[in-house]
Amino acid sequence: MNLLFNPLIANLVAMAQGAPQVAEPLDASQTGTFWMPVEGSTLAPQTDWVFYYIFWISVIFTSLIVGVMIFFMLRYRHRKNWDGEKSASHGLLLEITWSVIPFLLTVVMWWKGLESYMYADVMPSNAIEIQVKARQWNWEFVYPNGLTTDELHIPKDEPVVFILSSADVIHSFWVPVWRVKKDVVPGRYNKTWVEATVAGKFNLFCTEYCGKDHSRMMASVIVHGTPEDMQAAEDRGQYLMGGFEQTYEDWYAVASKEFLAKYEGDTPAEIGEKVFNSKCIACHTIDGSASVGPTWKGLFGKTETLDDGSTVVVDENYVRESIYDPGAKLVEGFPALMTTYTGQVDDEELDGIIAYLKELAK
Amino acid sequence: METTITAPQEAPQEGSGKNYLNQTKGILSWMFTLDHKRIGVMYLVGVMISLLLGGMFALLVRLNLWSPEGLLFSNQTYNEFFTLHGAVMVFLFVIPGIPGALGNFILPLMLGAKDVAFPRINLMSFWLWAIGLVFFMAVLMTGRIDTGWTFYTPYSVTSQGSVLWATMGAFILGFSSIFTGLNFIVTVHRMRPKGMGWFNMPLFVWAIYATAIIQVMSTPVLGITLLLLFVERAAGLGIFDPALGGDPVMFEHFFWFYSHPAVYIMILPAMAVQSELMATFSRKKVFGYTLVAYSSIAIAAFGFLVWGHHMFVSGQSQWAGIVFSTLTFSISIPSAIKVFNWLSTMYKGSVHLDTPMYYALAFLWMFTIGGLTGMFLGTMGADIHLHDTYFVVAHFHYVMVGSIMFAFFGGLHYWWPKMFGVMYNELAGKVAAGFMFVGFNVTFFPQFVMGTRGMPRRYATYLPEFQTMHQVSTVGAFILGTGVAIAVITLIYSLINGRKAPQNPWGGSTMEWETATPPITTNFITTPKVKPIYDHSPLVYNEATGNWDRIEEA
Repeated sequence: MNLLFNPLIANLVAMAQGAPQVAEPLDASQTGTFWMPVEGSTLAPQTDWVFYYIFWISVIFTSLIVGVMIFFMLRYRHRKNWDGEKSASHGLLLEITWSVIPFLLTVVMWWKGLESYMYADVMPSNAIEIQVKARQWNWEFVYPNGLTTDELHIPKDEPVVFILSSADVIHSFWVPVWRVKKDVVPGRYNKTWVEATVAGKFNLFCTEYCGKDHSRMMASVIVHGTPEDMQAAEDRGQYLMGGFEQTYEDWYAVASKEFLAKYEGDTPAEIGEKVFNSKCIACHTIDGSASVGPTWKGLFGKTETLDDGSTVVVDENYVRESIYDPGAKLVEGFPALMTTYTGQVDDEELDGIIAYLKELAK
Repeated sequence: METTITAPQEAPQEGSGKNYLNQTKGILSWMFTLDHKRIGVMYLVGVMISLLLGGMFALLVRLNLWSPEGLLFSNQTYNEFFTLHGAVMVFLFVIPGIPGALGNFILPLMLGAKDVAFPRINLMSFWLWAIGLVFFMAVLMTGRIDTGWTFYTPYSVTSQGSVLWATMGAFILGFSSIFTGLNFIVTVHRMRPKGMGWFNMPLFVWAIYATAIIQVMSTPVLGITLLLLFVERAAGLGIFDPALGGDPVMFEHFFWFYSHPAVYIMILPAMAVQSELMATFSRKKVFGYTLVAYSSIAIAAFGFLVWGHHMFVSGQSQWAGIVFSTLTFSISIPSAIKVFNWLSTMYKGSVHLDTPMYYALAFLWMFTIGGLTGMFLGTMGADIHLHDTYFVVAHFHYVMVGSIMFAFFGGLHYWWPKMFGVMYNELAGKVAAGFMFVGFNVTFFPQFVMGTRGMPRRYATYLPEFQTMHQVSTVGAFILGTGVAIAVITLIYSLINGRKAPQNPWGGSTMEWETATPPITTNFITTPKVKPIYDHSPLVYNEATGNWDRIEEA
């Protein structure tokens, strides 16, 4: 057992060093209630209405049942002067009453639940479309012009449709402040949408178990406020916080320019070459010579022998696995030194690496 | 008018002291027994071991969650622990527990019968269960699993770990369940004594019967699903994995088509126990007997129609969701009827607050909360926010632990004197129940709040804002574990040092209390006369012996 990676040791060390907290706190401009986070979308008040409706019915019925139970338990407990009395063994009127009244209450639950669900599940037209790409264990957001980020940016007060796709297993897209959730299923597209009503920086969680780092598969969501929101935030001294720095349009223009300058005009193989030169060249060569890791020349399509004696063909899936989980299938004769590139090599760069490897195998 | 006190049914020719426990000796006489009582005891030992194993995993899970970054284990290990906790508990404890350990023992006695309809199949059910346990031991020793007990594809197709052993183990356990169900259905239909019509049977029998129907009809679907998963994983046949051309949502449909009825396989036996406890410890017929009986059947029937409420956000069609939500509400009514009727049973009854009744009263409280929180999840709009969060975890633990485990312990404490001929220490029994009740609520109530606030489930690490509630929950888990330990120790200690039990220590009116304590191997020498169900009036407490004597008119 490698003690360096034992979380207990790491925790003790961190405690000794007074290490900082894990993630940044929310900076919503409002606070939520005891039960619910801030209502950050047009859907949220509808969800919360039906939640509290059921909640108060539950409180009332639980109190009634438990109250009556405790009363009966004390009042009718066997003691010297009480040993039970004859009473009716059934009562049709009573049974009907306590069936019909709860039934009527549930009809409202059912209807309001249906209403809010249909609101959440019917996509609005004329919405901005953002592709949400989930993979073990990070999120990627692709905007209409090809801009790709690992933080989700949207404008306030405008409908945004999310096209959800997974590269591997089932994930789930959940932003609690929006009350929006939809599974991200491989082999198909699912859609959901939001019209955000509160500016700020919020959390997106993966909420369908997807393996080892499921609990680390989070992303930040920046809802960009209007100029009025920005002024209000500046007055409060919060103007440097996510969502209040610049409008969505400004952010989009700047981010797109940067992104397209980096990648515009590059073929996937050229993207792959750029990634190689910046992230892989320390341990791999392209001329066939030996180094810390296997050479990329002639690698794609080759049958490699692994350290446990089995063999594997170097295909797209193997390349992807070797980049995100390098220890899974280690080639014989090479040390286990490669760390994961999860979060550092994205879909586009991965596609690029694969294309580049195919070039080097020609 | 002459009255007589009915004597216990001891077989004179076998001599005093011979009962099902000591009638024959040696391990082979147990391993190859055809006696439903011995099979019940073997199940009891097995499911208790499983409960302790599953509970150990639970404590490890909660311990790791003490710190937001994971206190002791890597994420991979944590994921294995929560998976094993779920799989061991569901397949080895909750589903087989009450039917196997208590149902097997008590059902024939309640019907004045010598045994179940098919004693050999009964033995086979037990050995299939044991083989299933062996497969899960193999899982633990060969690489474990980290897929969640729900085995969602395609992760379960490609994940490292002993998925093949686990699916085969669950497959074999499924057959154990199917055969038990078959046996009970035939027993109830064909082995009731003359004069015991359907509406003169104990409600325990009604609920076990409803359970058996579900076992027989739903479990084969799980079997097929697991077989398909096995084949896909082992042979690469594309069924559920889109990379092989399959459909992962189809797996969800197949899986939940069984697993939703499965939760009724779990709760109905607990409701069976609850009816008996409320009747005996209020010394009254369960209020609204007929409706309680029909409710068991209604729950079983409707339970087959609602599986899609686990899939509202999966991408299934809106129409499917609407139908499933509508039908889900239909189950709430029979469940509510049962709760109100059990409560009303205490009205003007003579309530005896012995240890089993503590568990029954706790059940009422916690099943109310478990059931009501199910309403949030059946409501489509609310479920969008709550699905796959700690709210769901809290909901199902209120039902599976707060209701089912408590009913299991309640039934165990109720029938323990009959099964083993000894009384346990009442004070210790009540203290254990108290620890369990407090510990359980401290563990799981905060989880409702965590869920609504944004805590996803199956998370090895989490945001620091949830740390306090996680720590409270962890403390609760250890209190709950302490309660379980005290209960188990109290029961085991009674076997060594317990006071000899009288024939009917609680004054139960059903037929199992008319056998010897413990019963002779053939249960009854003559089948007792069938009396109106839940009529406690002939039972009179004897201060000297601690027994409730049955006074019969001559």
